[in-house]
Amino acid sequence: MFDPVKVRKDFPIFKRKINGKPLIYLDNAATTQRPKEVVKALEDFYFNHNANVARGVHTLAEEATEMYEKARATVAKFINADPSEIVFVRNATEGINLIAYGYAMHALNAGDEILLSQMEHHSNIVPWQFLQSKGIKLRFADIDEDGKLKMPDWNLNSKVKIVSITQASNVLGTVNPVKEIAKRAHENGSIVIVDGAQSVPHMPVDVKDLDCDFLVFSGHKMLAPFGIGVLYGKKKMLEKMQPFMGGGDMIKSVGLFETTYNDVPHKFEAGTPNIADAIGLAAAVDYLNKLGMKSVQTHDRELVEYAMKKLSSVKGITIYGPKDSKARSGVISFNFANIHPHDLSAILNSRGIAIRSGHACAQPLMKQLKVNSVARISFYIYNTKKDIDELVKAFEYVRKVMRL
Amino acid sequence: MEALYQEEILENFKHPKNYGSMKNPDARAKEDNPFCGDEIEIFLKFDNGKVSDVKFQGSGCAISQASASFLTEHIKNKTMAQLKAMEEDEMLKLVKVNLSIVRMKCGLLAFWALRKALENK
Repeated sequence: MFDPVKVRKDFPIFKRKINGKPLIYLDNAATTQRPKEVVKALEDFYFNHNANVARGVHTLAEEATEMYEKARATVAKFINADPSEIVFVRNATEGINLIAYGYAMHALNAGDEILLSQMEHHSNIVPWQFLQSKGIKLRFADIDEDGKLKMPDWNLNSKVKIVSITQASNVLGTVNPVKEIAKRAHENGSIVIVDGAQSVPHMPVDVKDLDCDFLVFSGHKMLAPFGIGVLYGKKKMLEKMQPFMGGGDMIKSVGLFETTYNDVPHKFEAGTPNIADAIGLAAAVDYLNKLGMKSVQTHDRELVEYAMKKLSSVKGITIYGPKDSKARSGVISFNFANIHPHDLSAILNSRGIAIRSGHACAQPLMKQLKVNSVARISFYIYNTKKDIDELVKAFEYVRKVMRL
Repeated sequence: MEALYQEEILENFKHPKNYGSMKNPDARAKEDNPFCGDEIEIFLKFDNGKVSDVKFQGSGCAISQASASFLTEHIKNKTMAQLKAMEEDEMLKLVKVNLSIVRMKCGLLAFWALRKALENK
């Protein structure tokens, strides 16, 4: 097991003071901080190997191509996939959009259904709404009072062609049984997309074990640079998919009126890709592998359990999502004493504490919870129990400022 | 922090002036803050070309609610020309405290709702 206090030393940002106080960063579900290793990998690429990939036979071009493809292999291994099944995209959102345009738009017909859930992030709702104009219907699996999916209510039928579900809710923290969902969906003849934006950074994820058809996640939520994310697709699924953008790199040969596309995954990477950030993502994966994803998950769970206990004892707090901390990833959303989350967040910030406030990109879920917005804390490898103690202490100050 | 959440802001947040809805308004509009999901709806009644009554409703943080309270007080008896000439700066002056670039959206939400209402009229 790693020591979060030691981990913290790899993250220069923790030297910063916020309003004169040491930074307590509890907004990791929005984006994590970056360790030196990741930024060093970017610097090494740009200063020592910089060139475009998959073209040119000079030394730098060859090194850049090798590093980019090695990054793909590193990411593939991290989720137990084959490198040919890893498409580099900007983020999880782009991954879902790529599936919606490249697969669903062609494979689904009017009357077909897509099953989502009430707890999805906007990124797993809005791209599917685009398909409604084709006569494709969206349905939403309900959640129970504990913030868990109501599994028996699924009502899978032959019309459901796609089930797209988050593995870990960015608001409730709920971890969904996606392996079981995939099994049931496949029995029904549906394909399964897993939104791994909040799960891949926090727990071991094995696409072969889950048996999902697609998985998407974002690098910046797992120590990597902004602007790099991953679409995993089973090879046979990627081969069925149409490209969404045309251009260089995604072709084998181009005539004036027709083109032979490149093999997967390159078919989906038109234009010069984000080479440096893919290499940065691989550095982040290496960093996490050193800690061990099992340990990352254990650390997450310990903090959630501790925070749930501590927060429950604060007067005036309403916590959303599963009461059982074992059913959660490192995310806790709450409201405090009728104070608007915006005000709460602003006052905590004056104590150096960074939390998220707002609808957390899940407005349909907010409606379900009958609130406009929530305050959210989310953990990562450098957070400690002391961070949670400081947060709980700061609630007293919040009461004072708001004259409660 | 106490500088932002000063007495006048908190007072107008807890007991906002002109809070409520209106039957048959001459102009109305709702504005959302996509950043936080807050919303403010504003209702206006005109008499002789001047604002004779104004109400707002919605939910939001102390800054957005207090701003709406300040704004609705400020625009009573103003002419349409005066309302249309109103700039963001004038709204921010009403709030008195300095707002960060993010919180400025909270401070301007009611003002944007007013602008929209005038366009709708």
